[in-house]
Amino acid sequence: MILSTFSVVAVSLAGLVLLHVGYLACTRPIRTSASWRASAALLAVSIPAGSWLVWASLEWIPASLRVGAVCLFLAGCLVYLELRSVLSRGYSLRIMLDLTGRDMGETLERLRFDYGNGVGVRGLLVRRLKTLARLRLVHLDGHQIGPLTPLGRVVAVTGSALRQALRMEGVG
Amino acid sequence: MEPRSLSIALPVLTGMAALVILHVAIWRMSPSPDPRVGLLGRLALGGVGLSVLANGFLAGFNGPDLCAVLWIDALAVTCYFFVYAGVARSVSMTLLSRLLRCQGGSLDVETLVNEYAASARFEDRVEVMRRIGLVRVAGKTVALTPKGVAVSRGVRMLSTLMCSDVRG
Repeated sequence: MILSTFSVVAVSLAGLVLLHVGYLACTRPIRTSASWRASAALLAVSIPAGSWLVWASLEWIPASLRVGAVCLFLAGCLVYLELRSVLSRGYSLRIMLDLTGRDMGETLERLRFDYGNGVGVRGLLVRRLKTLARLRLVHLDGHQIGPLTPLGRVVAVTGSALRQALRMEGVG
Repeated sequence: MEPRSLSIALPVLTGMAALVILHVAIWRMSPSPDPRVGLLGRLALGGVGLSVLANGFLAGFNGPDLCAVLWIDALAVTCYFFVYAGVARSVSMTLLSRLLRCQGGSLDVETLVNEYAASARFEDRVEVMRRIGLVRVAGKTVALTPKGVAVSRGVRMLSTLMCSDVRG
């Protein structure tokens, strides 16, 4: 029973990942800066649909294990999302890729300047600010950033409080 | 709540409460800019172990209930790590926190970028990478170690497989 339950979860998760990666592979040549919306929408639909599929196909097992199976599926989805997030926005990973092929190494100053294929740390920060504005967390008006939107305020207050609670104020 | 549901919910809550309490206590007692993901992972394993023991104590060690506890724990721990990653590493969170503290609520983009660029955060990241053996630092020069080269190859392969670009 446990093995077959696990198989249902694994197959559903693999299906979701294949669907999403397949979509990204097919749309790669025509991808624009607004394509993230379609990708996010696909995930927003397929994660609840996958959870329902797992739930519906395990009618014959005890309810507790059925809930557990849906939780395991959702945990797998979160791991996939986190992995994608690290792969696309990993700051330290990008530093490592910038160092690849430079056998003699590089100075910190040069690394900072060349960060992300020459975008530089400044370019990274501007991109992050544009993303925050796109997510409606902050207002961006030309060269002026702020104020925070109500949602942005909630995120900032929560994040700051958690950093303070863990005494991690100088990170990020 | 049914006794069977209780024998699953209580162990999960116990394990997660132990994880959160120990995490906050250790991080507060010895603050560090290092995210210490390995230590947090060990704490999470301890929390899951406690859940399993509590479930065994309440319901005996039966397979389906044990699996339910483990799988619900998996979701709780994954959520916890998801939030922690944002708290400990997110550049966007740092920018939002800075905007929260600024007078008048808004700032010139150039000022914000200059402030961040002037901080030691870039060097801190390189230092964490040095500590875990991914880079070596000699004077002001940074280079990948063989382990760093292997990880960076792995990252490239994985990002190609997943149709992703490591933009940073």
